[in-house]
Amino acid sequence: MKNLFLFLLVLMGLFQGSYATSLTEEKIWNDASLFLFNEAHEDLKTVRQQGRFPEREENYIEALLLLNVQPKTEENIQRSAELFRRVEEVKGDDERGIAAKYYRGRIMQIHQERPDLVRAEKIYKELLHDFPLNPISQRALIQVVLLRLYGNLEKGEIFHRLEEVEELKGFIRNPSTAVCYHELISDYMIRFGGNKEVILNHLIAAEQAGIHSFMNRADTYVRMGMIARELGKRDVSILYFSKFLKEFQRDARHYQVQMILREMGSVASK
Amino acid sequence: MKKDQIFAGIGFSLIGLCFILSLSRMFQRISEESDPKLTTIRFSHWQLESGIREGFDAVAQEYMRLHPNVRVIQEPVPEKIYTNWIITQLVGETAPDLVLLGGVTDERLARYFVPITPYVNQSNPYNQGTDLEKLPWRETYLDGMEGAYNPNLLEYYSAPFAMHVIRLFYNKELLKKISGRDDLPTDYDAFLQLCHQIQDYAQKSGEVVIPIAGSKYNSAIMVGRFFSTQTQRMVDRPSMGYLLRPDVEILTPRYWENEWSLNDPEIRSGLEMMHEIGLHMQPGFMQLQREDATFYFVQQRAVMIASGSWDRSSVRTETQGRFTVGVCALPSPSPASPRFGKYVLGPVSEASTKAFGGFGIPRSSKSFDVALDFERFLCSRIGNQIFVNRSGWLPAIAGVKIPEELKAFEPQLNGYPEGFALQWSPNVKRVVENELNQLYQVTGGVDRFISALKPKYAEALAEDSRNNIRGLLRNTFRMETAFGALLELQKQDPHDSHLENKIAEMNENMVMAESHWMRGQYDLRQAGYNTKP
Amino acid sequence: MSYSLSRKKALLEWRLYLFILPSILLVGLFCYYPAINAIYHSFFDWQGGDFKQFVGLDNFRRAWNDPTLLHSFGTVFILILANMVKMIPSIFTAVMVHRLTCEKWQYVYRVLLVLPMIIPSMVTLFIWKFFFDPNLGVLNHFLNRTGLQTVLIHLDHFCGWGGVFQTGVPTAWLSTPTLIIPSLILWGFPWIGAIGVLIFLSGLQSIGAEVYEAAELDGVNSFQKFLYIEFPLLMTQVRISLVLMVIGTLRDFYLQFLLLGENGGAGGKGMVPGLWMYNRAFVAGEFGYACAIGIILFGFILILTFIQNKYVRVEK
Repeated sequence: MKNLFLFLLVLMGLFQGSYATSLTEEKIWNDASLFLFNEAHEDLKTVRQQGRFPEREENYIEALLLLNVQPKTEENIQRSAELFRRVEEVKGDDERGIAAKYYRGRIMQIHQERPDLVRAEKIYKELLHDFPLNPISQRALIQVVLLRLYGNLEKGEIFHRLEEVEELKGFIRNPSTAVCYHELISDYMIRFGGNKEVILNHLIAAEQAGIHSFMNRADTYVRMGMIARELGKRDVSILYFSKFLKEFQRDARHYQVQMILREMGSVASK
Repeated sequence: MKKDQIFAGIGFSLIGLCFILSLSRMFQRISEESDPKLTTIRFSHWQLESGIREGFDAVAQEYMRLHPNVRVIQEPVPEKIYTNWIITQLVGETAPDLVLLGGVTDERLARYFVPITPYVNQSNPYNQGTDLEKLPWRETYLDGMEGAYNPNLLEYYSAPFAMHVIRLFYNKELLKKISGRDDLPTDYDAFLQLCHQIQDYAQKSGEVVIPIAGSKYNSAIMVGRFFSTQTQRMVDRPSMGYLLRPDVEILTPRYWENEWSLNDPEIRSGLEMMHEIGLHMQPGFMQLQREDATFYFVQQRAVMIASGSWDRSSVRTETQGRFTVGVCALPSPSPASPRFGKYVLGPVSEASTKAFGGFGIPRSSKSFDVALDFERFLCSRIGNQIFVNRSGWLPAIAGVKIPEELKAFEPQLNGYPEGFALQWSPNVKRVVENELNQLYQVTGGVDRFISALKPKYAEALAEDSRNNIRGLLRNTFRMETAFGALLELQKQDPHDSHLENKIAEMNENMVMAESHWMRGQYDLRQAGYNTKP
Repeated sequence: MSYSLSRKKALLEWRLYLFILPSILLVGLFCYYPAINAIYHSFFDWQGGDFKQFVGLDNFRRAWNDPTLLHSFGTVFILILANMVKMIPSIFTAVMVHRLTCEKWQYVYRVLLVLPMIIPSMVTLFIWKFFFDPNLGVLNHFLNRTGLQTVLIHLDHFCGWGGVFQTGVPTAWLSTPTLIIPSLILWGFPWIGAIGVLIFLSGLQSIGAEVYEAAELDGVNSFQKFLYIEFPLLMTQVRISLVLMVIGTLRDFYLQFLLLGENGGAGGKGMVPGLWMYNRAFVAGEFGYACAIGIILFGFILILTFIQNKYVRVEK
């Protein structure tokens, strides 16, 4: 009886061991990319027992997962901030260090119970200043845009905020950031009112940078067509309405856009 | 032998017999599934309407004919228990190889199902020899497979196989007897005239017959469409965001900013239409359920009933031998109509009708390749044609011929987008529904409805807006880690174009979601509401 | 009186505990676990999925200021009062059955009372729903045939009810705000609940014959017998029924849900706390908040039951 018990224990240990060796970093990231954060966190715990990841790597993975391990608690968030700080402490100017700093900013901006927008913006600006070409700094740039546009926004400041983000344009280094930058500003101006010419230019810039989300792309084409038409820019309007018709044949607005084009006397309406 | 013993013996024998039968069935299944030459796949769904199972069966038969080494088993499960059943099966890793997705949350999708995105970007081998052969599978869909795309997970998890539209079903004989007509008018004014004619007929003849069978469910389908014809032009106002479609995140703050109100002529006009139509349904229809309305129609107490194409086979079965059912699109006011044409752009488009259904493949499936292959067959032109011919549902795949009896269900592509309805989210829907009696009562009307709704409407919008921004924040949280993970995966495979697109798309979505969350907070603050519940 | 049981004695037949283990496990799994889980989730912003964020007492604070929830307690209070009145027919029926001198007829009546219990409650509800149907329902037919509809129309004009009863228009009982609570009260007419009658009958049967004989010698009439003997001695049963009724009325919402829908019907007049809890969970997807409502409801029931036990005393 005792032997049988021991045998079962060994068997369980073997099973556990074989499961752990089958775990890879890819599996953890794969789970996390599919929003399975708790599973990824459990996997990390198993791997940690094996001591297979360097401590810094482990800290980084855990910190990122802790932002979404459920239930989401302030303790987890603070622990995540601490782990990111440790990652950054070891080396602040490599990929992991830069990312860790960015996520500390994000924790201050949205994850912690009492957000600290001023400190978050300071972190993003430092990143932008120190590593302007790094893709993570480019994400930090977008966060600065978001904070400047909407952070504690009051009615009287709407147009002043726009001026504040215009100066950030020079820091854009990749198309993805360009799309987000121009979409944010055009969306803001459409919501709160602004110069249509400027709105159209932002929309055109976003489209030219290459919008990936097909829903956003359809809306952007329609907006460009409509605003250009209102501005009397017939050719621009026809160009983007035609793009819309070509790409979004099953959109409910298809027929209406066709009719608008027909009104404008465009051949593309046929 | 005593009487008691005999009864006990019979009882035990019955139990024993059942046990042996189930045991033999189980062994039969095990032996079939363990046959190395035979692959068995099972698919489950809740579509128990007549014709649908036969449709699936016909597709399965054809597939088995093409692949003699595959056995396809259909497992229909009643709708009421389907969600619970499927969750149990998924957790227990005993789910069928193909699961019709319904009531499966994003989390469960991600946890239990395999994304089929890489496959939808490849061509469907069963479309070979057709003009679709070189197109990615996604492009062979009438809706470009938009309906199957999960914008939160940024993946496709299923391939839809059908489509649905809203139609008016009518009793042909009754219509002919009352009005002398064979079909229904397509223009709203003429339709209303017909409703009056039916009411006059009922009054004069003493027959218990009403124009439209109503219930909370059926009336909403119909009057919602009528109402939204009146707000078509409102959506095109510059303040509505230049989208040519209603956007809740713009409509809500615009209401608080008095850019539009319940007293706007367009809204009043839409409500007037609802009031008029409501008067042609049975009194108190708002307290009735879907089956009550069907009962009225089947009992020939109503000439018409509005419902979706999903009800086609059921309506046909229930009315068989009683009367002939005609089908037509919901009438709409023409822009030339003196009463309701002013705010109308034109007939409502059904171009955005999304494909319906779609089987997901669980991670636990031991025959992923075969399951995917069967799904490809079902959603190819040839497979979808077989399904459509037998089921009576509309096809999802381009080029599938619509049988003559389904022609009336063909989506109307030439039309304008719908305007907005008054109720688009849970709390707004609740307060509107609670006051609809003021609109539909004989003594009620537009003014009474508006004055009852107005005090509650802005607050309900705020409540829904708060929920909406909480959802946006949650999505932002989730995407934060997922995005970081995607970047790590990309490092391992920098040339994966699917991953690259996914990262770019998630980045855009994440930024826009966050901006809408922040803007939502501003809007609520400006309107004088709390940003937290 | 309490007994102190030694450990040795308690474990003497330890195998017997195994017999109650399955029941304990099942009760724990299906009753206590969900309840504890609900308490836990009431402190979270939770939509029913994996994502949940600790929000402390926010859900409870929100409930405190939720006008719909407060209003729903008002509605349920009216229904509790109505249900108290609706207990009277059961008491009278029990007394009448009890007073039947022929045991055979007593038995027949008891069977007749129990028979409807085999009909599933859902069926009863649907029958009642059909009963209220404005066009095909029995209620409107009855009112029309008996001329009561005309009386109601006159009363409507006279009392200014806002035209809920009109000539030539079938009354929409469940889609007219002012008629919703009367309809809910009318539900179950003539309000003779089988379980209630059986509980009262069991109480009546425990009254000794000598009490009746003494009363007869004193020359009391039938009504006085009820007032001075039967009703006071039935108070234990009345209290049990009262507690069960209050708990049931506060907790249940299937009647309102089936008759009026998830939004509480026209004007939200039929909204009760249980239905609001359901609405928040399954319509708005706010499961965390719904759990908090459930906990508040639980606390409310607990307090009411305590008050009833303390103040509805029975003189022994």
